[in-house]
Amino acid sequence: MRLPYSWLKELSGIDWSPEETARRLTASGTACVLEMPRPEHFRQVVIGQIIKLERHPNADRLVVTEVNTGDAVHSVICGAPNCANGQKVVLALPGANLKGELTVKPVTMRGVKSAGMICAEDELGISADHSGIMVLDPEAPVGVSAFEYLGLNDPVCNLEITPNRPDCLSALGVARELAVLAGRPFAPAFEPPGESADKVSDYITITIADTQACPRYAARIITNLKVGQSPWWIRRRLLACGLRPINNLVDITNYVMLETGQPLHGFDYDRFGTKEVVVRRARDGEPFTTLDGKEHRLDPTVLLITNGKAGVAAAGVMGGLESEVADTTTTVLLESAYFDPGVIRKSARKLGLSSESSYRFERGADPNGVVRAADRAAVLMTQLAGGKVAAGVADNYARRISPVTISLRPAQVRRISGADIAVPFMEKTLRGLGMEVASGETLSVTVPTYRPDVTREIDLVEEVTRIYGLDSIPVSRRNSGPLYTPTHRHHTIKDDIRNILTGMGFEETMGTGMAHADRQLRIDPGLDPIRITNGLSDEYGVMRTRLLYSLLLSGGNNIRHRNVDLAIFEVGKVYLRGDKEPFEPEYVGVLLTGKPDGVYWKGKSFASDLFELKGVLAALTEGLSLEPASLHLEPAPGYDPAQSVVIRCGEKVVGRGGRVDRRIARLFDIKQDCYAAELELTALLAAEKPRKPFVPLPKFPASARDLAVIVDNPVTADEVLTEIKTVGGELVESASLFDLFTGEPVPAGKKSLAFSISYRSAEKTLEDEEVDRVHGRIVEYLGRKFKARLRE
Amino acid sequence: MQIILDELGRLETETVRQIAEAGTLETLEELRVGVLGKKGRLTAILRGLKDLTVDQKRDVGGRANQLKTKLEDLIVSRREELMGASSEAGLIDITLPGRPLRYGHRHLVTVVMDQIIDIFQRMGFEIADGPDIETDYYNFSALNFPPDHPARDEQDTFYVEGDRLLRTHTSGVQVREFEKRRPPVKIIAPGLVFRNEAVNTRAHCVFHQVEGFYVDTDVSFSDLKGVLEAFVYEFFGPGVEMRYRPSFFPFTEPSAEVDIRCFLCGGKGCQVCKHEGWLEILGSGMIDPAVFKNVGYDSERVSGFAFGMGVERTAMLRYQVNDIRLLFENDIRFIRQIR
Ligand SMILES: [Zn+2]
Repeated sequence: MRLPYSWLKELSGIDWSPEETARRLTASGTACVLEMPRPEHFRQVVIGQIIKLERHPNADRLVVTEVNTGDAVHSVICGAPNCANGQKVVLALPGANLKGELTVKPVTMRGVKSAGMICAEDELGISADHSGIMVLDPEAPVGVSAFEYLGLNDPVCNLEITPNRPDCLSALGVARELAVLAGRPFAPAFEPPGESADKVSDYITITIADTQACPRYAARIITNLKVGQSPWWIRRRLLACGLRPINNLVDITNYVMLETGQPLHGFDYDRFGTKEVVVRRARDGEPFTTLDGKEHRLDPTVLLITNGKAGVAAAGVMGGLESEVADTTTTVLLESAYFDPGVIRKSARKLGLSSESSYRFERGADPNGVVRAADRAAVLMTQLAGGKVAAGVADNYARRISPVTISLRPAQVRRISGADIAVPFMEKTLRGLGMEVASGETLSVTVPTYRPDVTREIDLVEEVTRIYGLDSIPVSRRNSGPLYTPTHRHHTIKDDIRNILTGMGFEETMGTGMAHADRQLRIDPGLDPIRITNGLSDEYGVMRTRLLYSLLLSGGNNIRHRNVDLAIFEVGKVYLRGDKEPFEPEYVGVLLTGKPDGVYWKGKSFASDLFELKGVLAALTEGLSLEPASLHLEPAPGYDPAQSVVIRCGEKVVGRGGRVDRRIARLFDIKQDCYAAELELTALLAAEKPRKPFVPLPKFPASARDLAVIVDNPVTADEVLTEIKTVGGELVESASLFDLFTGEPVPAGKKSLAFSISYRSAEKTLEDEEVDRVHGRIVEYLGRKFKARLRE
Repeated sequence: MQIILDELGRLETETVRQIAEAGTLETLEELRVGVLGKKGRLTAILRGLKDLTVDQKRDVGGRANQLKTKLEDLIVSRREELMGASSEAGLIDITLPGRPLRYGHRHLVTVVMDQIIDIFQRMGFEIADGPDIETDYYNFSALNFPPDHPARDEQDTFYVEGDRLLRTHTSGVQVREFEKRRPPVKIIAPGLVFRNEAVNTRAHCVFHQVEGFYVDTDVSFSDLKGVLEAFVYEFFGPGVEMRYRPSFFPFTEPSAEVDIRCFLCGGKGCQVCKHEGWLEILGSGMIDPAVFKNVGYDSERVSGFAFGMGVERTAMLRYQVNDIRLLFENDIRFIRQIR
């Protein structure tokens, strides 16, 4: 909401500078940013009068004028269609720099000299209007600076009004705030219109069919009107507020709305059709054309103003095309009504329209201010459009809305604020805000109906504290509350995971939780994603069901930027359908692709593969003190069926992983192999190893022996290791694979596996003979079990 | 006894010379074994001490041990010299890269979120969380958003199947925790929130929020200011100027937006603070009695405050990131810059 500073100053009587005004408003809840005037844009721009006008000898569309600026007469060429002799206009002389963009210079156009430029509103930066030159009121003083005459030396207050404060959607409302802040009395002057001999009841009657939706509808009749341009002072204020001036009648309704906050609507009485206003719900399928020319099919969510036969306005939202005020209008039916906020909100939504009126009605107008606003507009119509006001107001106040009275305990103000605010300050503040206050141990406060937000004691507490100033409330530096703050493992494990994975060189990525439906389904056709019903785009069409989606999205984004060597991870939720409600398990996902280790001059670097992934998972589970991870080949959606694994910690399945299905990777613009795994956090937590007592370090030395056997290809390393441990029994302290070899001299279809075995006894130092005996038994057993042959 | 001391003296002179002359590691090792080994000359001398008196043993033994230490040191030094001579002394190019060991980085949002959470945990706030897919009740109704009220327009909402929505703030955790607990309740609720807005440089349809709230028998706005001041001083720096602007949130009253002095321009006005000299960092207020009523707390007996801040916005201010989309594109060149 925009309001000129001068208007607020005039209504409130404050003497603060614009900056101080903005600061005070902001500090009391009406955020205000100033737009300062730009006098430099109006240098050499003066008021002039066209005293002579002739056709341009060489151009049909141009005229040559002589413009008198008091001390001189300037010859100026003009191309505007509305240019006429005798007009008072704004003349930019050579040296002017309009809007800081357009420098005016003497020019010669088709052989005729022009020493300036007659300006349109858009050229001055006043509005976007370029339909013609700006024509000033006849009494405009020639030779005066346009900047001063037009009142442009006036900052505009750009106000952010919170949805609970409809009263501040008006100059009077904001002025009241300023008066309270300055401790000044606030009593805006009010003058009822002089009335003619005509009676309003001869013109119109008002019937309200739905008094819930329309508690009050009032109307005035103004006759003998003459439509024309509004005086500059009204147009200037409308322009400063961001409204386009149209004609005096429309401008007056808009002006009074800006002044009082009460939306008004003027109907052309002669085209209204009947002598009655009927307010009712629209019927299903009822057609109606709003004044912007759009045709609507209505339903009963829309409240309709009718003439008893057909709709003439969508109540509180927009008037109809048929009865709009036009140049020929001489009699106006001026509507000033109060509509239910919820009804107008639904109506506006149904129509897909939002207007200055609906914005105010949705937030709540003042049911007891409607006649005053109508009177104010009627006064202006007599003054500025020659109107005569029919006697009386047609006022159907079907459902009275009365001010409420609330008790305020001063102690409550202090309890909530923590500030020692004095009772007289409370009383003065509330009175300043237009409330009636009866003193006593508890204050009895009657709240005017323009403050629909104040209905409870706490609302009064807020009024007092915000005027007192939140910055004035002391800062308490005590600590209080529960003695102890527990932490939860399902939170701390995420921190551990981040530490471990970043320590292993993984960069943390962050997805949005949302996904593209098709791509998400391609990753996992078995999980029907939860759909967003009013999504912005396909990209945010569903909730992700798999972390793999986000990992691939991040991977693709990087690869597109030539970051092809990646080790990334994400910790986050996926969203699944549950029995009763959605289920949001948390996962950690890792993705490896390219050669994330980079190159090393001492040796070759490895491309990511399944075994790098396995190593990462082993380190992660070790770091988290989980049962050791084991991988089992088993197809999993999203991964290549031949290279996908189920990941177990002990017996428990904790996740899945493998080489990402290449067809799916391509959906994310990835043409290189990616290895990924997704682990569920609750499963990881369940696999945490119980805390065990310390095992003493061995007292006796170990003996090492290597063992290389040639076995058939299908025999797994793990099978051989298991046998080594079984046969060797307690004496085998550890055994690990250190080499895998195929090809010459190993026969085709076979492989050589080399193990390093450590033998140790807890009781004594093992003699070489003893170790040889056990080692020999293992060799012999492997030979029988796997037809294994010792490799020399 | 003097004989033994003389012998030690001779051994010393001789061995010191021999060590200095030793030309190879092998010669040096032979020398070491010959003198200090199990069957070496010094060992033999020490064995001969058994015939001496206690006092003599002490004198000679001390001298012999001194000699042993001296010779050992000399041998070690000479060995280093010999080894150095045979290695690439002066030939190492130390500018060659070390073995590439990766070190990863937390995401900017995590870094800032952790910093925020850590400060509040130290003030006694416990972490809690709630679902991202919420009901209208927890996201709006229980927080005193009337149905069909313009206050709901301020938070454009994504709806999902099954009459649910994507939470527009983490404030719903308040209600869930109040239902589970009795005061005192002092909680911080971090998490993802969603707004149905077009994505541009300044706004995203997804961001993270940290909500904090404290309810006890006598909590006032003054206590809220204390907690927020402690946070601001810790996070943005001690003594940072703050201001409280009354505002409107349905679930708090009185409500306030909290601004800090723009730390980029010092308040003179710049692009980041939109020439206002202030940066808005969080919303806050005293929890509305309507919320307490919804969870069965007696607002005559307890009072409390709540506050909430956007993590991305705070992170962007701190690291002067000018495009929020960078945070969700996950370009590792961006992630790696975060410290
Ligand atoms: Zn700044």
